[in-house]
Amino acid sequence: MIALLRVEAIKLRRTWVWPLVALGPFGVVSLNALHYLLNRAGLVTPGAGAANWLRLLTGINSLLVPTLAVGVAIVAALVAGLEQRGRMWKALRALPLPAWQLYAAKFACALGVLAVASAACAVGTVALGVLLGLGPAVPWTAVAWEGVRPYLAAYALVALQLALSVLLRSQAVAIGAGILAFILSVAATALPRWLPWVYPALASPVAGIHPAPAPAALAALAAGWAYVAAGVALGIAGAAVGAWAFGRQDTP
Amino acid sequence: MIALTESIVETRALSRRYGTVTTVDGLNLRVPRGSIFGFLGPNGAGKTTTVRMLLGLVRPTAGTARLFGLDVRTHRRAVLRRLGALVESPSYYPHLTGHENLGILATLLGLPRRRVDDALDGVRLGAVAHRRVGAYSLGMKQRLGIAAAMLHEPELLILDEPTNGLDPAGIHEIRALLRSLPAERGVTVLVSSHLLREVEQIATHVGIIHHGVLMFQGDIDALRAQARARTVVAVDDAVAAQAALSRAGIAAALAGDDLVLPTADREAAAAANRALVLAGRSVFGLATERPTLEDLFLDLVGTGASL
Repeated sequence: MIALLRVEAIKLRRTWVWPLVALGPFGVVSLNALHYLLNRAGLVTPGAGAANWLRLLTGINSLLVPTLAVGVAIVAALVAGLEQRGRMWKALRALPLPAWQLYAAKFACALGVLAVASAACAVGTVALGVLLGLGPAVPWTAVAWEGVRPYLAAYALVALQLALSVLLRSQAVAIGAGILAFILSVAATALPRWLPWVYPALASPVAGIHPAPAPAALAALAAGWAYVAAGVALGIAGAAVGAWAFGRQDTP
Repeated sequence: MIALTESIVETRALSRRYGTVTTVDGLNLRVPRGSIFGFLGPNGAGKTTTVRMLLGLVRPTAGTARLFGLDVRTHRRAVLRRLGALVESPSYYPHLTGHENLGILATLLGLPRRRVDDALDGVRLGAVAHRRVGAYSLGMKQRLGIAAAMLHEPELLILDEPTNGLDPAGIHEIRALLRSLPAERGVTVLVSSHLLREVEQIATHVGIIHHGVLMFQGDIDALRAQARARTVVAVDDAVAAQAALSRAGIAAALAGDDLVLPTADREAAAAANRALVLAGRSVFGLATERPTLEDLFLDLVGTGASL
């Protein structure tokens, strides 16, 4: 399994995965930067360091969640496409390795790529706040949880998109599901809370406190963990089902 | 002879149905250890499906496939550890170099890195080892696929149409490589092709499949023995001559403007000649012909089949 993970990293060389990983967080942070450049007076209250940081976080969150939904679909399609492009599945399946491990390595690869993107977004958030002069009161916990919790809550979506991209020969359904995920995540607060597509939005430490953030809202920080747990549990279960189906599937 | 030899591949009533179409129908394949087994048939005869079932890539709808005496369904990994395969078109990561491609397989198989260089040199890809495979010619990709199949020095090499898309020099090269394997490395080779002439020079055994059914299998000399000699009779009016022979109790088949007697026996030829002359027909020539293996192959699979 370790060998499988090592080769996943080699396979990503010279692919579009890394430029896209950079593009996602860059888009989220730079669009917020633009927003602040145009409306600085309305967004930054002099002297209110913590509230200013929190407002920045809600701005980041409003773009991060839909970007994550689309990013999951793109990353899943790309890591699956690596094998489909050169007809590698049949060669890998003819190796003395369990099929579930091939699938698990793909799942881990997608999660790893998305983790890098989420971390980059957190770093970019802090950098933007500092550049905007929001002061030294960086809410480290909230920034870290904004990076980690929507990402973890998206595991269920990763499992779904990976299954669609690997198990179906055409990527049309996977792309359709990615677009649907984007729409659902934008409308997250209006949707039933059990839908896996709303987990990343609800797992955020700033969920529900937009558009009038107040420091007191940080008390609600713990509420999102239920969605993190649900996302991770459903993601692992979904990946297990995907691996089982992959093992039973004929290899074209 | 085959019954006395140990079989490295043995299938029993192996079948695969897709919907209502039976692609492979009750196949009883025996590949003797140490042989070069030419698995022949027209396109769509069921060769690739059979190969995929041998590798456990496709599950049979009925029957079993045993390799090294082990059932592929239940001992898939133990079987795959001992064989190397190239299925249909070669598999590769186009954005990685040849060296990186084989390096990935070496890592997954737990092999030392020097095997990668040896394998690349073995198929003369050493000079382009650090170029992206996407930029390789089809022949180079095919050779990379063969190097990948031989990377872990398997006992059995299964190559599905390995010369597809290769130029004559490439075909010759792969043929020479395959020919050397059983003697030099003790490898058994199962090579599929839709062209008999591609494998007849190297194969020790052949299996011929058509519409999913095995039409012939055995030692290539046994196939040659089936290629019975015949006599071609050139006459003025083949139809009238056939009728005349029929009246004389001699069976002959029409072959264009000529008649064909299913024998090379001189007395039989003389008798036919006599009967034709007595019937007032002109006989221009009597020639003994021995069909080539290709003719025999075409007889077995029918000339109407796409070749």
